[in-house]
Amino acid sequence: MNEDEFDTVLARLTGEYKAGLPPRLDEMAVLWERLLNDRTDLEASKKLHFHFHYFSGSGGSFGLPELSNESTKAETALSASLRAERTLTDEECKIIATQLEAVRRIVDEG
Amino acid sequence: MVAAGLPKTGIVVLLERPRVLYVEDEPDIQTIARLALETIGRFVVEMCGSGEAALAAAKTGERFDLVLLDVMMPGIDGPTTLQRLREIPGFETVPVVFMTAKVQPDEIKRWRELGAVDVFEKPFDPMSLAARVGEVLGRTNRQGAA
Repeated sequence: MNEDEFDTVLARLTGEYKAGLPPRLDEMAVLWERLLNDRTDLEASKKLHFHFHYFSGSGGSFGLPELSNESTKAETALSASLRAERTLTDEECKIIATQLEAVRRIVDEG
Repeated sequence: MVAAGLPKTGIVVLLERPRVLYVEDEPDIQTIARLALETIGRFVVEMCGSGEAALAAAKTGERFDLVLLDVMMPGIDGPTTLQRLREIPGFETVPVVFMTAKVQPDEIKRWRELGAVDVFEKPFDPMSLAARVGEVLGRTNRQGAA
């Protein structure tokens, strides 16, 4: 594979990655609603953490470093509550809501 | 890895393409890592989607020169996978690099104490991943030959 072919494949993979973001984000929004209604919803908390962790660890590899940066903040907040086996604090909820919005903007802007 | 050392110069000549076992649960990351490692680095890559799969691959007796191991995975996590890999004949000293999104100095220290030779931050740059792997292989080869 020469350099041009590599770039072409990389561009295709990046396009596929970006195309997969909106459905994932929609699922995150549903999980967040569940958590807002019930902060003891451990399943929603774990799943939301998983999604932020995915963004955090992958965005930069696909040309979206800000997606990683913003997601890491929310992942950290969720990790703290999961590790301590307690419900989210008001401050953590605020962080997650803010970062979810930030992630939405990044995804919308492509 | 089959290597012929030249003691006077310290040069190590690789006679075969290095074989990398990459353990990562996310398909997107698997795909871009494979592209980078195989195309840029000319490595032979075996991809496993979980710690369990990595342990199974290790038990086949297949030879690997380096393991890239995601820290946070469903099922057996990276650190536990490393501990169990070390119990498998042939894997006692294979260099392992942790891949993790959170790299705090105390975490790096902890991973190294577990036996990792390096820690790569995620997300990784696909253009430089192969070079970083090559650097680790060169370093661990030199240490092994010394």
